[in-house]
Amino acid sequence: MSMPIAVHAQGGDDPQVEKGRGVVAQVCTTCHTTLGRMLQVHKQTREQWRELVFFMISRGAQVMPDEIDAVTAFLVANSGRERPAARSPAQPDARK
Amino acid sequence: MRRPSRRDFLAAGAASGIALGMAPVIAAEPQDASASSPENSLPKGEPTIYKGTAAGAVLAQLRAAGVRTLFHTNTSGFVPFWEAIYAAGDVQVINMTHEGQAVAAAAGYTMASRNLGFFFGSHVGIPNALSNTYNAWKDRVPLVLTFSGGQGDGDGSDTFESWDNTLGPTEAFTRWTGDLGSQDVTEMLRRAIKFAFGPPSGPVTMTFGAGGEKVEAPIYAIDLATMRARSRAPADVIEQIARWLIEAEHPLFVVGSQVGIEGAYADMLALAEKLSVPVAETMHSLYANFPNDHPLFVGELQAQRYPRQQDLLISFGESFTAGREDERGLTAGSPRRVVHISHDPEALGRSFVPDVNVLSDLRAAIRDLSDAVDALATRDRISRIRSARLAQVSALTSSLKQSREIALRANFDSSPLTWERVGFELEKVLDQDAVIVPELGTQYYKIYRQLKLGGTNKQRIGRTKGDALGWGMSAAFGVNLALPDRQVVALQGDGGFLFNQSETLWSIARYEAPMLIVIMNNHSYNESRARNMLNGGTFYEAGKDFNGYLGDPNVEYTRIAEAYGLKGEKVTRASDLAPALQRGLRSMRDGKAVVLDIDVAVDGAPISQPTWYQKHSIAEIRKKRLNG
Repeated sequence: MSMPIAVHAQGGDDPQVEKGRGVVAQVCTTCHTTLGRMLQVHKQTREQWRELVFFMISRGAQVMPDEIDAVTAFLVANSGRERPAARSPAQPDARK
Repeated sequence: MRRPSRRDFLAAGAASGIALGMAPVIAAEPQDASASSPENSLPKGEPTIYKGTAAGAVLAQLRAAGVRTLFHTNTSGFVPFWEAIYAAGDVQVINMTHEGQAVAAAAGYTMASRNLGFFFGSHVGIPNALSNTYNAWKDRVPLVLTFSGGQGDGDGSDTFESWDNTLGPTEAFTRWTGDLGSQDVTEMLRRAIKFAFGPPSGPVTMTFGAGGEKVEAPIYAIDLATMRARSRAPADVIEQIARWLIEAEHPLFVVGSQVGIEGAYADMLALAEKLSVPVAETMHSLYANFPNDHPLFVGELQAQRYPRQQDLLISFGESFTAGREDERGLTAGSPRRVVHISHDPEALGRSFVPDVNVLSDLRAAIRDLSDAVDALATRDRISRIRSARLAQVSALTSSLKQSREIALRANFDSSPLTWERVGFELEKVLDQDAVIVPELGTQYYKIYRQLKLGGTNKQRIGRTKGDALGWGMSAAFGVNLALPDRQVVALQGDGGFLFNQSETLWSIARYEAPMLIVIMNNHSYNESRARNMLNGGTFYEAGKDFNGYLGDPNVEYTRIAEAYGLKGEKVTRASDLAPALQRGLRSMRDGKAVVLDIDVAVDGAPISQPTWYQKHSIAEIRKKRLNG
């Protein structure tokens, strides 16, 4: 069964962040089940987060054109708030 | 021959007792094996008799099966077989410089031609052959791989070049292992071919002890196109699925590798279009089984946003063996009903438990399902369903296309180049029927979605579902052997190329395979780096990656190409790619392969010291001054 992933928004009442929260919960967490932790450990600029959104769109994420800014806003508002405390969980072997 | 209608089939099935009572509609168990109707598991008619050497009988049987291309890696011990090849005059032997590369080439050849990939080489090369035997096994590619010596020769003696149970190391990755000796030599080979084509299909390994002994052996007429045992679903099961499909508000099709294996692309497209059912593929899909520029194509299963709550998911020939990506895809949409159709009985019920398992050839199942829909719904109803859903799905896929265009243009002129730009430029210059053979990490999608793949568009073969690196170059070479009139493009990561693949350039040069070899060079194993860093940790905080950076030494791939007498060109700026591709195509047209070494961006979350690696110098730690 799919596991619901809580995506807690920071950003107060910013409607863009709130819209982004909904999109991220629907689009990103299917694959990125550790999204909350990823947001904590990755401290990037707005421009880098935007690049990452483009990267994921090209990679297959189903983000619509009018959602790109909102997803970026959510990621900016919620990233890099904590220092990572533990080793990352095991990932499948993947090479390129 | 007229294709029997669903009604004919039902009547015939009832008469034979096969269809009735089979496969309860709401059942998680696979159909009883007796529902399948094997064809050609035994050859028809009287065999001809071959008189000559046992090795000659092997060749005669292969030729009778239409096999004219053999793959080989250097060894002694096959003189009678070489003599038979020489005498036959119509058999091409392709020499490869490593057993693993030969197996991958045979696999690529078979995937592109649907002929049989046959390899002969040294038994000492069995360990070398293993990684690509594993890949072929994961891809269900019918191969017969033969190795010198006889099964059991010297068991227990630990003599030179021997170990017990010679084929034992291959057994995890084979459908069957056997001995091709002088006893019943052609019968053994016929049996091996049958096992290779299955289903399930896959590699068969054999010891090749047949030599100069005189034999009289039957030669069986074998039609490889019908070698795979066929099956067809009971009509009542098809009818129930058709009812579900008509009634479903949010159905989804998953199109898998078996559609490609059977070449049932057109049938699949017609069924999807009949009711405008959105079509997804799994992350590790082996072929482009559905046109990716079609308005019904919604991309990867696990990334699905529409339909979010599926009421029916039908898999057409996907194995779902990729692990958690497939599991997420299957569960994300919480489908109310799941139907799994497969021509491979071993795939059914293996990775997940569907509501209905259907053992059937894909083409037959698709056509039967289409006929059943026609029989159960009026044309008007079908038309209404089609129109309404097409509008919804098209709106989604059109928006996604716009998003991809925005992402493409965001860094269009950047250097190092974006993966999207490389895909964009390839799409502009390649023929519509070009074949792409990728061996890339999961960033492949950034290229794929800029290329028009599937259906009447370009074909994609790979990446192997086995994912053991060191496959792509030889597989692409094998594809080019099978399809000499098509442009064949090996899409290769720099890290993957370094997995013992440069030697394949020897065969590419020797046999003048006019391929385009694109090395996506980001100077790193970026796939594993991105995954390792995804959730942070000590190394991420330090910005250091112990095994990801490849840029020191900075390998000059173009000079590797030149060492084999091939053309090489380096591309570092986006504006240089199009003219470089044009030069590459001219070279291919003139019969010579080209290696394009393209500097591409390292993407994903950046780390602070991307070029760091753990330094160690043997030269510096020496305590003794060496002569010289």
